[in-house]
Order: sequence, then C-alpha cells, then structure tokens
Amino acid sequence: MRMRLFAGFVLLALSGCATFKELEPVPPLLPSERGFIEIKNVQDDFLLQKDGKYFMKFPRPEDLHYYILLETRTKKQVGSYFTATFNDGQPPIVPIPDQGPGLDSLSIFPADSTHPTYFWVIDRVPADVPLTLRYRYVPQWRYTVETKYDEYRRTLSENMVDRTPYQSMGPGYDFSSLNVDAALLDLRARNGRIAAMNEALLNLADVFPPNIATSKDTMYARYRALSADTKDELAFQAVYDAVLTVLQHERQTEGSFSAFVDRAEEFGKFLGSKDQYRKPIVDYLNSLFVKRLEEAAPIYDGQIAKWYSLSTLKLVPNPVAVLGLYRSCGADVPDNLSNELTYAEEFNTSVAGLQSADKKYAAARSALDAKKPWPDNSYYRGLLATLAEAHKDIPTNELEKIQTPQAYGLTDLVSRELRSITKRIADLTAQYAQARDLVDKINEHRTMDDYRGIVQLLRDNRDLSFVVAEYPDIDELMLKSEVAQIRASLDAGQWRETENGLANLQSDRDFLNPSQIASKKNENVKSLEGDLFDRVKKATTERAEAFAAKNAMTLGNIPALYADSAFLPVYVLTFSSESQARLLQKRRMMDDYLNQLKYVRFPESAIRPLYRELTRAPEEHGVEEGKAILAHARFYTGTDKTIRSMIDECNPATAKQLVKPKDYRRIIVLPVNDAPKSSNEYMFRINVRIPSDARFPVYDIDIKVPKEVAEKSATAQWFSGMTLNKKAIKTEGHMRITAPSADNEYEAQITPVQVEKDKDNIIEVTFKYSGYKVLEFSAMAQEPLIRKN
Amino acid sequence: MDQTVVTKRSFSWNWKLTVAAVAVVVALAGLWYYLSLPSLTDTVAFPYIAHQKPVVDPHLPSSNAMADKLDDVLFDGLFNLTATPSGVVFTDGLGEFAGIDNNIVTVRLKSGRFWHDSYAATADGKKVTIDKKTSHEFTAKDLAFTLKRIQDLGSLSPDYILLAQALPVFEFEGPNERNEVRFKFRSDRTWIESDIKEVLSFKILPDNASMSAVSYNIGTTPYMSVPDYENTIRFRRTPDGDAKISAVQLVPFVDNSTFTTELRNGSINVLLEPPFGSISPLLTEPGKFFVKSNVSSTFFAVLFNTARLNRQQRTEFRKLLDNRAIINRFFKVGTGQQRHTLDFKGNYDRYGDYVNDAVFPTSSYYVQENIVQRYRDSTESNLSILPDTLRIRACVNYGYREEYTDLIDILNDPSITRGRVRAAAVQNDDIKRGDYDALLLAVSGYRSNFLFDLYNLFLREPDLELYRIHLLTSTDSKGEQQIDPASFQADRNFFRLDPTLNADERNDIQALLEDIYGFMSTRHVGDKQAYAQRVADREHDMALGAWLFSLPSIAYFSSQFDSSSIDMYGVASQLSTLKQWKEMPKK
Repeated sequence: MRMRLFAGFVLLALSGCATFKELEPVPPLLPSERGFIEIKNVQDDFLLQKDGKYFMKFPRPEDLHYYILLETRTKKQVGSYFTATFNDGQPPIVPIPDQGPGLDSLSIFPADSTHPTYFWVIDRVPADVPLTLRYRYVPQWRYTVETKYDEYRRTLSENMVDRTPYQSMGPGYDFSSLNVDAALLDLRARNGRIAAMNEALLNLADVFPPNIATSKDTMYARYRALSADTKDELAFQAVYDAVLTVLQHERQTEGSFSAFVDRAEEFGKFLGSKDQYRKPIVDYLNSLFVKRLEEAAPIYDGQIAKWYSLSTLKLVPNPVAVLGLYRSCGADVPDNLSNELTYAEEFNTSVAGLQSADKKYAAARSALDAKKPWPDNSYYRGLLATLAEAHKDIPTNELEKIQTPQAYGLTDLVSRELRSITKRIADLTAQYAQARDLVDKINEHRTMDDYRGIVQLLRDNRDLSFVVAEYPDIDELMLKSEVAQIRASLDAGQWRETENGLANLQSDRDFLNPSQIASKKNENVKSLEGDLFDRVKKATTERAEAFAAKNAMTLGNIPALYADSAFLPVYVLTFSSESQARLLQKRRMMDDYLNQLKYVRFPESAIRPLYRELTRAPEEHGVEEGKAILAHARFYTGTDKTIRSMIDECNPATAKQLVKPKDYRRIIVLPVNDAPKSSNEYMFRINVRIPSDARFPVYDIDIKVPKEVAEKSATAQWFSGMTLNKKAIKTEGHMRITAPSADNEYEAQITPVQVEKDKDNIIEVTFKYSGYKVLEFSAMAQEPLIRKN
Repeated sequence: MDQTVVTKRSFSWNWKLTVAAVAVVVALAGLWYYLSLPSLTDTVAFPYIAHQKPVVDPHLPSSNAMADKLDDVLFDGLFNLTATPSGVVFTDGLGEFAGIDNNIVTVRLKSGRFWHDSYAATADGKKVTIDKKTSHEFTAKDLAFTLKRIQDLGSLSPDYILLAQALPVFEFEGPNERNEVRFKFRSDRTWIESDIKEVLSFKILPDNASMSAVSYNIGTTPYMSVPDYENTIRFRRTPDGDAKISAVQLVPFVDNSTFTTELRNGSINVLLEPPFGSISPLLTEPGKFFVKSNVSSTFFAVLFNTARLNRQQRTEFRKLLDNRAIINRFFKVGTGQQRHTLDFKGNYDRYGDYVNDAVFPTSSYYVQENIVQRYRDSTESNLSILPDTLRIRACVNYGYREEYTDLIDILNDPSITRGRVRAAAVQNDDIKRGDYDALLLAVSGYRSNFLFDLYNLFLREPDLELYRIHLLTSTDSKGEQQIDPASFQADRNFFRLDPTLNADERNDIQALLEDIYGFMSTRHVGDKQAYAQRVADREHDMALGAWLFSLPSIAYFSSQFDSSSIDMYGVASQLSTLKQWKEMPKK
C-alpha cells in the first residue's frame, strides 16, 4: 500500500514538473497539400494564458521540399519557434528559421518527410491571448511559383535587348557610328538581371517532384513558358555580346599591332564560329583583320635588320599568331613576310646549333678550370666525347642562301662563329688528348705511391697547366711520403737515418712548387726534428731511468754506476734545421736532463729506498746501505731537504741537529772504516742548537747508547772520545758523563753542557766496537731543573 | 749522775738527730730541685735568642735560621720536601699528584685539611686549651692566592724561580668536581713526577692572609701557633693533627753561650745550632744525647766598606785575613780544647771543607760543582797599601755571640792579622751608620743549592734588627724587568756600595748589580751558573770581602727522642720531619 502511495506521489511530482503544455487540436492536423486550415480546440481557439508555455505537434509532410505555413495574428504577441526536435524545452533547441521573418502574421517553415514530427513551441506568453491559427502544407516550388511568377515575367520583359541594331549590321552599315562600349554596357546590365532570374528558375527545378514533367499542373506549365522565354533572350544577348566584344577589342588595338596580334587568337576563334553570327558581320570583321595583318612585314623586317646577336631572334609580335590569324581569315601570307619569317627561323636554328655546340664545348672546356682533383683515366676520355658531340652540333650555314640583304651582317656573324667554334673544339680536343695520356701515366705512378714520379711528370708537362692544377696536393703528398719515410726511420729508432732524411728533406727542391711547399716542408722538418729530439731524449731517458731504477738498490761500487754509459745520450744529434746554436742548445738540454737524472734524481731515487731499508732493518745490509747512501751523496747535487736530511743522517761527519728540547732524536751511526776490522771505528755528531731565552743555555744531553755498545761500560769507557766544539768533555769539575747501564736503560747523560746561544754546538762522540754494523743511538737535550735539593 | 749521763746521752742523740735532719733536708732539697726542673715530656723544645723572635715568611729567606726552619713546622706545600734515611723525597702535602698529560699537570687538592684558625687556642699560664671553631678548609683559592703572592715577590722569593721554570703564567684551571686543578707546564722538558712535586713544593698561605704581612703563622700542618708563655714561643698539635709529639716550643735565652748547658740541664731537648757548630764536650754523656748533621747554612765573612777602602786596599786586606789560619784558631785545632766537627757525610774535623774562598760558600752547589772557582791567593799582603789600622766591627747581639767573641779575639791577634786590625763589638747603630772599615758578619740560613741568596748578602740593608732587602726594579722598553742601579745605595748595604758615590768603580758596581740580579731572577740553570761565575769573578776582582768559613751544621737531641724517627739529609730543612719525631718508649 505504501509503495503505491509512493509511486503515486512520484508520478504526481513528475507531472507537476512538466513545463510545456501540449496543444492538441481537434480535429487533428493533416499533412496533405491543401489550402489554409484553421486549428481549433473542437470549436474554439486555444487560449494562451499569461506566462504559459505550450507546444503543438505537426505531422511530417508527405514528401520532401515542403513548407508548413502558420498564419496567426498572435505572431508578434507571443514568442515561439518551430523545431524538429523538442524535449520539454530542454537543450539542445534547434529552431527551424522562419522563411518569412518580415511577415506580420505568416510564418514559413521548411519541412520534409525525414522528421517524424515538427513542433511549434510557444515559450513566451506576455498576456492571456486566444490563439487564432491556420496552417497549410505546400510544396516549396509551388509556393515559390505562386508568389514569384509575376515578378519574374516582369523582369524578363523589362530587360530584353532591342535586336534591331544587330539585324541591321551589313554592307552599308556604319560600324563606326556604333557606340560599342555603351551598347555593351547596357547589354550586360540587362543580361545580369535576366541571368539572376534564370538562376532562380533553374534552382527551383531542383525541388520539383520527380513526376512533375508529366503532370498537367498549371503552375508548372507557367513555369516552363517563363523559362523558355528567358533562355531565348539570353541566347541572343550572348551572340550580340560576342559581336560587340570583338568590335570593341579591335577598336582598342588601333595603333598597336602587337596589341592586335595579342587578340589574334580571340579574333581567329570568333571567325572560327562565324556560323553563329550574321554573315555580313563576319565578312566585315574578316576584311578588317586582313587589313590589320599587313602591318606585320615592315615590323619584322625592321627587327631582323636591327638584330646582330647570336642569340635567338624572337620576332614580336609572335609570327605564329600572325600566321594563325592569316589562316583564320583565309588569306595568303605575303612573300616578303614569308621570307622574313623563314630567315628568322633558319637563323634561330643555326643559333640553336651553335649554342648547343658551344654549350658542350663550354662544358668540356670547363674542365680546364674545374681542376678536378686526381682525375681517373676516363675523365679526359669523357671530355673528348663531349667535344665530339659538340662538333656534331655545329650547323651547316644555310643563311647565306636566303636573300635577306638587310640581314647580311647577321649572316656574316653566324658564319664567323661557325668557323670559330669549329676551331676551338679542335684545339681543345688536341689538349685533352694530351692530358688523357698524361693522366694515364700519373695514375699508373699513383698506384705505386710514386709521388716523386708524378711530380716529375707534371713538371715535364707544365704546359698542360690545367692538368697540373688538378694535382694541387701533389707536393703535399710527396712531402707526406718523404715525411713518412723519415718517420718510419724515426719509429725504428734509426736516429742517423732519420737525421740524414731530415737533412735531405730540408734541402729538397724537387717539388712541383718548391716555394709554396717550403713553409710546410719546413714545418715538417721542424716537427720531425722535434720528434727526433724527443725520441732520442725519450730513449735516452728510458735507458737512463731504467738503469737508475734497476740500480736504485745497488749497494756496491756506486761510483761505477755514475760512470755508466746509461747516463749518455743514445745518439748525439748533429743536425738542426735552425742553427748550430740551436743544435748545441738541444744537446745541452739533453745533457742537462741527464745531469739532472744522474746527479739529482738517480741519487734521490736510490737514497730514498736505501734509507728506508736502512731504517727499516738496519741489521740487514744496513752498513752497505748507509755507505751506498754516502756514495750517492758524493754525486748528489740536488737540494731536496729530505734527501739531504737522509744523507746527513748517514754521514757521521754531519752533526745531527737537536733543535727542540726534550724530544729524542734518532741517530744512525755507521762505521767510519770502509771494511770490517776487529775493532771498528764509529763516530757521530750532535749539534745542540735549541732556541732558548736563556742567555747562557745549559743542557743535559741524554744519549741512548745501544746495549751492545754500552754493556761493557762498567769495566771500560764505552767511548773513545767526546768533545764539545772540539774541546774534550770529561767527567771533571761540574761536568759529568753518566755511564750507560741497565739501570738507566743504557742512557748516558752529559751534564751540564754549556752551549753558545744561537750558535752551532757540536758534540762529537767517537767509539770503537767490534761489530761492523749500523748502530742506532738517540739523543735528547733539555735544560736541567733548578732544584731545591 | 744519771742526769749527766743523760746529758751526754742527750748530746749524742742531739748530734745524731741534727745530722739526720740535715740529711733529710738536703734530700728533700734535692728532690725539690729535681721535681722543680721543667718537664719536656711530649715536647720538643728549641732555644732561641730572646730578642730575635723568628719572623716567619714561607716565601722569603730570613736572616734568622730558626725562622726558615719554622716554615716546615707551620706550613704545607702541595708537596713537602722531606728527609728520609735514603735522601730527600717529596711527600703529599695539600695536594696529591694525579698525573701529567701533554704537559698538563693534574693535582688533586686534599680535602679535610684545615687552616690553624679553624681552632681557638686559649692559654691559662702554661696550660693551653685548643677548641674547634668554624672550619677553615684549604681550597684552591688559597693556592691561587699563594701563587699570586709568589709572582708578586718575583726574584726575592726562591719559590718564584722554581715555579717560573714550570709555569709560563702562575695560574691553574679548576678545581673540577674531583677537586683537581690543572697546571699548564712549559713544554721544554720532560716533566717527571719528582720534578713536578719539587716545583709545587712552595708553602701555601690562606687566601685571607695579607699579601705583605710581617709574619705568618696560620698554616695547615699538625702544629699550630698558640700564645706565648713568658716569651716561650709555643706550638701545639692541632686536635686533628697527626704529629707524634704534642708540643713544640722555642725557649728564650739571652744568647747562645748557654745553649749547650741548657740542653744538658734539660731546659731544652733539641739544639739545632750548637755554638761553633762543633761537638760539645758537655754533651758527650753516652745515652743522654745523640747528634745529627747536615749541610752548613751559616758562614762568617768580613765585608769591606767600599766607601772607606779602595779596591787595592781591599785586595790587600783580603790577603791579610788568612781564613785557614783563622778557622784553625777558631776551632782551636791542635790544642787540648780543639772543637771537633762532624759533617753531613759523617766526617769528623774536616775543617778545610768549611773554608770559603769565594762569595759562594764552599758547601754551595756552585763551588761543589766547580761552577765557581775557589780563589786562593797565598801571597803576602802588602801592608804599605793598607791603613795603619783596619777597624773591623761586629754586633754580637743578634746571635752567634760565642762565635763573634772568639773571632774578634782572633782578628785582634797580631799573629793572625799582623797587628793591623782592631776588631771590636759595636752596637747595631754603628753598623747602620757604616762606621767600620770592615764588618764581621755571620750570614745564616744560606742555601747550598741552586737558590743561594745573593740579595741577602749584597742588598740587605745594614740593620741587623731587621731583615730588609733593598731591591729596586723597573721595566725596560721590551716590558722586561731590570734592576735599578739605585738598588745600590751606600746606606742600604753592608759594603756601602753606591755607583753614584764611587766613580772609580761605578761600572763594576753596576755590572755587579746586574749580574746579581741576573743570577737571582733567572729560571735557567745555565744563566744561574754563568751569572754565578760572573758575580764570583767580579766580586773577587772588586775584593768586597773575605769569606772566612762556614759553620758546620749539627743538631743535638736528647735521648728522650727516638733517633730513628728523626731524619736530616742534605739541604732539607732540619724540621722537615718534625711531625714524625717520637719519643723513646718509657722503660
């Protein structure tokens, strides 16, 4: 029950939502072609209420191209539109335009049978109003003819042209009295209006029903009669227009033959359609045209007489049009005109031959300037073929046979040109034949990369400059070849051969253009020379550095290493493209490098690892390593502080610097004697130079003595001598030297050591020890403490 | 008849009774005398010259040897230099060494160490009562105060020199939550623990003390000063003190002539400086006394008055004073009354070791280590250059009366000074006026270590009543301290040195002054040595004095004390181990 109530409410709501109210006429509307029929709601008109919205359905017409006419006095009072689709006013709304918008009470809506229904929609009702309405379904053509026939007929009659002038044209007619321009103007105005009307009539035919032609419809019969009258008038106007137009055009060319000839085709065409016009008119115009054509001969004669050029003689106006109009007029061409035109034609033929031959000659000749690089064997053969074709194109001289006195100069010009082109082709052919043979030989040398041979061939054929020009890079290639040979020697490490090659290249003048290639040659020489120097230097370097690397850790006979030839250049340079001074400079550079390696880098590269090994494992060849370092040091001229420091570390004579208080400093002590003995001598020096603000600095010097040296100090003094600035240090007075022992961890203390402020204070310690080895001491200095005790 | 008999009998009985009565009286008198002797049980009693009360300043040297010794009785350092049977060691005082890292020395300050003013001492006659009052605990502020004071004293204080070796600035960081302070030590040496402790062994004063008090007596040791009783200077063990003996006192005497007797009589039980520094024949009873020796700290010298004697005269005067002959006479060598000596090495009668031939005593480091040579000139003095009479004066009222008296006699002996010397005892005012050709002076309390005090000798004002150093310094253009030549003024030193008055020797006087200052102010051993040489050489050239000899240093102790509890060694203070002293157990 509840569901029913709900459905009822929904329907009520939906019905309440409808905006437009349908007006449903009684009786219903019929779509058949009839006159106007009133639309009633039974007996009464519909009443449109203020602000009400309505629509009315119209059934579709029976066929295409119909109008639905609505006539009502309320057209201007309410707002409405006609449409083929309607959905209670919801978009999209596509109104069908009213074909009678200016009409007060009639609306004309196109309609056809393709839409099922049409809707007339009233969407604005400003006030209550009764709807008095009539409708009519009518084919469009009919409605048009009904409403336009009178108007069309009037148009035709008002615009027909008077045919009398046309008909009167003939012998005795004074064409000159005819105002052609005015007649044409009038004619075309009339013709325009009739043509427009005719267009409307033709368009109307598109909406005729298919079976109209067989019908006896009165309105259709009227239409056909109107159409036939209209066509007849238009046909006459066309003929008359053509005549008037030719007359007008001819008149416009008076005084200008060229303008006349420009219209020749039009005139010829008119004459060709002469059956369409009255014969007297055609005859008149034919004779007029022949008369005008007599102007051609003198004009052409003048042009030929003036022409003195081997370019195409183009007669103006175009003789073809002239001859064509002669033909259209059915008249013979006069002899003089015919002669002139023949000469001109023959001349142009000769010119074309000459131009063709010359063009081919020029094409072949262009090879002289083309400088085609390195032509193959077919190149000149192809050019020779082109020349042969050019020769074929040379025309025979026919102009002299045509009697044209006025063209004597031109004829002579052609004759001379014929002789000239013949000779030029022959000459060029001879040169190309020679070039062909030369190129064949060059290409043969080229296969062997014999650029020097090619240069020689070119030098021998300098007269064939165009061929020579085709090898602009021959010197470069030859240079490249020479350079390649030298570089091969260089790469093979054949220093002398390289140097000889460079010297030869430097003096070589056997180039095609020695002066042009000179700078490049010199560049190459210089470059190779530089490379030679670099290579020699590199080889020298590699040999020397390999030697140095190999011998970095050599321990014995160090001086012999420095005398080794590895420290000499692999080759002593003897050539310089620049100067002897430059040569010497290079040698010096090499020597400087070797000296740098020999006296700086080699000793450095040896001393570093030797020192590293010495300090890493002094018991393993330590003495030898230390001695080797000192031996290297005798040759070392470098200033590397680290290296100097390493040397100093090994050199017993160099005092080991104590520059900071309290820090122990390791001292490597080597035996002084070169070979082991039963009792070996050792020495080391310490330089106490510690910055201090004391005026009279005094230090305790603590020396850690190797156990093996110190352990017998209880029974014998471990050192044989100890001096401070060459004055003996003894345990006397306040000076005390503590014996190193196990109790003090083998540390000998010398105290107090009074030093000279800011000066070297050398403590020298000498001692003997049975072992022959590296001994490691360490020393430290610090100021004694002022004590209470 | 019977009566007569009775009478005889009575007489006989009367005589016997009388004798018995006398005997009883005598016995009672002896008993009374014995019982009336001062009781020194649980007490250490030293003698002192009554009018020379020791003025205690732990940071400055004193002319009174006892005053310097009392530094150890009253004051602690962070670490204390203490004698042991094996030598000196540094023991923890107010600090505990926590470590050193990258020259940052960390010392943990002791907590629970209280200043003596944490106790109230009241005296009722001899009786002393000590009560606790508000605790005044040692803190880092006291340390900071002390460092500031030492810095202000500069070269006047030996502690300044010691500290300056270690600290670029006399400051520290802390304390932290563990009561640790951190000293930034100089990086120019490897600091070992014993050196660190030595540097930090200066005595510490409370921060409520005056920067420039005449005397200081509030310390942190187990002994505190209590009110004097009849000029007896008294110290008592504090309630918290850990000293073995509860009382220490200085007993006043007119001079040192009776010291030996007083010890023998039991008025005192310790005699640190017996007359002549020699073994006393009065104290030889076995089992009653024992003796310990250490390094000399007093020497006698004759200082020449440069205002009266020119350099040539002084040179000849010095030759005239043959110190070897004088010392032999002084110790009566070769006579039945020979005064025997004992040195700290245990040698007897090595008199020659006490002869001084330079301004630096022979016992000093500088002579011992041959930094300074001993100048010996055995040529005869050219008397023609000397005045007819050379007046040597001495004031015997400030200690060493016995020694002065003997020396005056010796100097007046023509066999010693060839009849050219007239020596006499005078009053202090004569000394102050400079009324002498030369002054016989006992220089006491000298240190034989690096810190020998040249100010005490050259810049002490000539007033034996006081101890005042006339040191004037100024700052040069580089901001460095330098000695002011005005430090030498005729009435401000024993030698009457004054560059403004002595044109002939102006340069040498000024150079001497600079060398003295250089010696005293440097923190460098080398400079110390070099300046020591310079001062010694220059003084010798200028002939400013005859340096006679040093007194041996021995100490007598009553056998009341356990000898093994008392250590003396080298230069350590004789009282550095006082709190460890203990008495022999009662038999």
